[in-house]
Amino acid sequence: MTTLGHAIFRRGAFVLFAVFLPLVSLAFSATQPASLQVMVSVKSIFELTVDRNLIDFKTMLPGESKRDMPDNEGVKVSVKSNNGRPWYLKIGDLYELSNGTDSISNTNFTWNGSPSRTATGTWYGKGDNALSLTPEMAYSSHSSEYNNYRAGTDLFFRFGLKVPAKQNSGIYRSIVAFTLTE
Amino acid sequence: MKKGLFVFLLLGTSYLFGLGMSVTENGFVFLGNIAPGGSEYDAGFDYGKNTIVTLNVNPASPFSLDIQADGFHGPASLSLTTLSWQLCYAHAGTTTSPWIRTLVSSYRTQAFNDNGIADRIFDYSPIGGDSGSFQFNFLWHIALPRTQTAGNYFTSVRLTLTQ
Repeated sequence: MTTLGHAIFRRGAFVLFAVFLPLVSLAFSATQPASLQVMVSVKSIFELTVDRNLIDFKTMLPGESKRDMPDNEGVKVSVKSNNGRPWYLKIGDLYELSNGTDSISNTNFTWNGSPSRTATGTWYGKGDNALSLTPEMAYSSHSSEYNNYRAGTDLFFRFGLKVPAKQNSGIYRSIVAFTLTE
Repeated sequence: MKKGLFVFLLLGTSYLFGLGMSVTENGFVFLGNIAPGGSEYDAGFDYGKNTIVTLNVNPASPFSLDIQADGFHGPASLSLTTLSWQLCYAHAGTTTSPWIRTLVSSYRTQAFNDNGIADRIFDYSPIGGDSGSFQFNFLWHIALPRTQTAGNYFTSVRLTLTQ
């Protein structure tokens, strides 16, 4: 090829490249990814509330009995959880009713009650149950209650007491404890 | 001829693969420890500190930026619509050109979606005056459902730069 031919050929090639490069660019657009890991921690809600802190049997005579105290509805115990795990409630007393000197056996101090209408778990308080120094099962959750937030599950407890016929006089006290466990 | 062809290939390769994007915060954002039903605006940051995305692009050519998130992983389901992004600041080089001011001002809180489709943040057409690296600052917002199960939830936010 002559020198002129080479020059024409090079110019043509350059023009070809100048046209071809943008076309290639258009056909082969590039992408660049980047990522960001995002985390959020949802707080745990695990609550047990009791709507009152005193049950007063008032004055009773030796041999007298009372039941369904403090009232027909009972003490309301509310459980709220968003942990998504099974839970259960136990009831017991920390010590038998005592005036400091004499005591009334737990066989004379009983509990009963019922879950609310919307509760779906298992209630263990059928009939009258004697209080115990060892906490005993009162209610266990259904799977639908593993997360019952915000409505919660309400349980109602009523108490009965029979004063033995030979019981010494005095003011007798005890503490009923509810224990919520996952 | 051969030298010219080699130079063309070298220039062409450089042009096609010069795109870049970086994200601050070491690629991790903790939105916080939030109660169910709670919400956090500008989550995870002290005031004035954002996630900064820096783009390495050719300002003479159009480009676009997309964003999407993968589904939350955690102890229970959590919709991506609870998580939102907001473009709070941007600049190109040492100036904030009008198109960027308009872009930033036009965006309020934008929720992610659950359909797996990326949302287009913007399409950029070359405007004289923009130069240097492009920087975009993002805020993140979250609003938890009232009954959300406790625990840690993770997602991956993905940005795609195309030019």
